[in-house]
Amino acid sequence: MKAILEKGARLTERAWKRLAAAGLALLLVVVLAIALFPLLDGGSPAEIVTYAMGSYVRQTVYGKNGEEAAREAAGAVQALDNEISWRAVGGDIQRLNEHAGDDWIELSEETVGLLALAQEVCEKSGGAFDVTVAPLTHLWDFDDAKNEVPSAEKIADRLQYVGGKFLRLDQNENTASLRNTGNAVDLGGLGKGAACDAACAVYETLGVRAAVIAVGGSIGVYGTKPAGGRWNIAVRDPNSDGSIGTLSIERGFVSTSGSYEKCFEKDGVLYHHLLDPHTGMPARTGLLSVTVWSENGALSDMLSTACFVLGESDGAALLETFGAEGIFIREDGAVAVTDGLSESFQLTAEGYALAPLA
Amino acid sequence: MRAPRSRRLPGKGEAAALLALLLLALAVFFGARRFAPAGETVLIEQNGETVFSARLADLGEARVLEIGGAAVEVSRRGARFLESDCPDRLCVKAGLLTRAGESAVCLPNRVSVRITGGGGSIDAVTG
Repeated sequence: MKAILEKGARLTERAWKRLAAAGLALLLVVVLAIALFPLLDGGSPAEIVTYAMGSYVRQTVYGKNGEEAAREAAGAVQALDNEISWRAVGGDIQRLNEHAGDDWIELSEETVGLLALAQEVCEKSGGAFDVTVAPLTHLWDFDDAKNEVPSAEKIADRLQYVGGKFLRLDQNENTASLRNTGNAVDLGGLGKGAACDAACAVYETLGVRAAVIAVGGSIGVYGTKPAGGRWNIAVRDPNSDGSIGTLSIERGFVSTSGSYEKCFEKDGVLYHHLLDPHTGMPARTGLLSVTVWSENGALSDMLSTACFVLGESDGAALLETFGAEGIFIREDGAVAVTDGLSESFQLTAEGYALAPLA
Repeated sequence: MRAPRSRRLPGKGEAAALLALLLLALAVFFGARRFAPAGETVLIEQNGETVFSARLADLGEARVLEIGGAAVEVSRRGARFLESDCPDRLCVKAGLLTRAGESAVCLPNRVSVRITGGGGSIDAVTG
């Protein structure tokens, strides 16, 4: 009897110990899981801001290697800037412009690829987007804030140097040439978007969990947002500092071209940087801004400019040929959205109303 | 020999369990803080005047506010019309509002509930 009791007592004791140990182990696993979850999840994302492409570059990178990836992506964006900025001495574009009317120049594959894409958009937009617009943009020089309207004679003179036909590419040899002295290219209309592409390529290589990059007004999202749901991109209100609404996207790139960006007012007239390559004057198509979504960052950047210059109707048709989507904000406060964004764009600002595409 | 040992053992186990529970509580506390939607604010208006405003992160468990003929439930998860004496009850059908920009209105009671975003829900700005 005593032995049985003893045995029973021991068993109970052992069972209790086991139970306690099992419970403790379970709790430790839960605690560790919760404590380590931020690490698995990427925790608080790495957020870094650098400057390139004449603008800020803001990255939010999720994942345990977020910091490293953000630094590497910032380096890639700077490296791209060094090749495609017309100001970057020794870079691809500066060398190409320098040898205008002279010889074919060997360029990086990346630069030639961007020029080829630019030529395609130039062609399909009927020249509304044209990287050879450089002689005109340099004449207006909106970066300089001189706030002067060039004379009609000067504009007419520069216009003869503008045209897609002056830029020739050989994608097999990675070479390009500008036909005449006086020709020049300016990739300002695609640089920010291309920078987003470059950053996302780094994120993919390094296998980051998710990231969002903003180069000025060009945005790229990568991966699945850790908090779940879609990436929310606020679209700036052309008439205020706030946003006009939110565009929710799962992937891709968004760029905006607006007349409020680089501009000045003279004698009651607004002169902005979105020049019509055919007239040499700021495009006036009844739009305040165009926001474009595309699978490709450089394309989103180019198409937003092209759409602003073309106007809503032709712009929307152009977007369709590239499988892109857009938001057109008209001067009268009407906001038209292509079919693909009707569900994902939410207009929130007062003073605007959704309208069907023109 | 056996008796004191058996008394001491549960004591040890209990201490360990308590410690684990404490850790668990801390982990849940910080985990909840981490994953609570940050920055969003619940705004309830009646006849165009704000009658309730609180950051989602500052709200605890669900509580119900009686506003006019409607009952609005607010919690750290969001806000919703729980009950309303209006005929169509469209406000109740709107369901739980969790994200900035979402709203529900009870027109008969002139009560609106919306979540406004303090940047927390916006990932980037284009323009």
